[in-house]
Amino acid sequence: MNDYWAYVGAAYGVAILTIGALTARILLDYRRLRAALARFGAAGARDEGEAS
Amino acid sequence: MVGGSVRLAMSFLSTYANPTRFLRFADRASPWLAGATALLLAVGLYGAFAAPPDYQQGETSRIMYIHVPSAWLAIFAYVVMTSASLGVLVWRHPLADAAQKTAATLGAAFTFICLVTGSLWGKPMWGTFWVWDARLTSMLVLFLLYLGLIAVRQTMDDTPRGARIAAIMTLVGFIDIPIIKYSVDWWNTLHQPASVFRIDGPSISGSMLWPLIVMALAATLLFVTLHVMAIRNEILRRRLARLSMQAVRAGESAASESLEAAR
Repeated sequence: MNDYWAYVGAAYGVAILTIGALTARILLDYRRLRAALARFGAAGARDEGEAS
Repeated sequence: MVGGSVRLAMSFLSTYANPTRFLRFADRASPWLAGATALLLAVGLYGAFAAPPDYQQGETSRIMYIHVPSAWLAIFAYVVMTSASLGVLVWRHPLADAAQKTAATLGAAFTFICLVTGSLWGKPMWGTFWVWDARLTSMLVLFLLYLGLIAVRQTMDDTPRGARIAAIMTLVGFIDIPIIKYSVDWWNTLHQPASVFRIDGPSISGSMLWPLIVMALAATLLFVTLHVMAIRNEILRRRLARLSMQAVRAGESAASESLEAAR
């Protein structure tokens, strides 16, 4: 029965790694986009194509 | 009751269909959603490892607490994508398009987790990582559908035509959802039939059912949190693309003015 813990550990490991990678990607993307938009804001640019 | 819920949902959707309002909502709601997800996950994981092992499957039954919620979320994400696709085709709303586009990655991730954890559960119980039975194959088809939709969105710009094509593809792919759900009833499969959503009630012990329900709620909340954050990113990405285009056009007009002035 102890051998089965390897399968349980691997299953939880894959789930944690996948969710972790997805979350990190979304958060890093958000930081990159905010920084890029802040540079446009500092240059005085204003988005003209979106209802606000 | 149902009419009131629909009116409430429609009111929420019409209020937050505005991208700027959605950004404000996402900024305020994300930390609370993330906190609630972490709390539910902690309770669910405690329950998953405190629950007794199955009398036949032993400790491997603990894989159920991630395999089953990820399977439900894989299907839930596709239902969200289908609803968003209807929003794209009927109302042509850009926020519905952003919701459809971003749910594909999340759905693919949950389907991947479902397939891998299922394989890791299958090896000690069935003696094999994979069999081409109806449930496993229809789930693999769902994963390929997600990958196909992600590929379509990456090869097309954020044009209304690209959004419509992806929405139609999503609606066509919805045929796989009832096939996944009823595959264990329609065909003779190695995969066990439903043990929670049954007409005569769950066939699973209460001590194992409550951690499963908590993990399913945690996974749903995790999906909602990541989806809200991903839609926020998509709105910001489109805003950045528009600003870049404006800068390019401003640069071009400044260059042509300089050229005129130089003549």
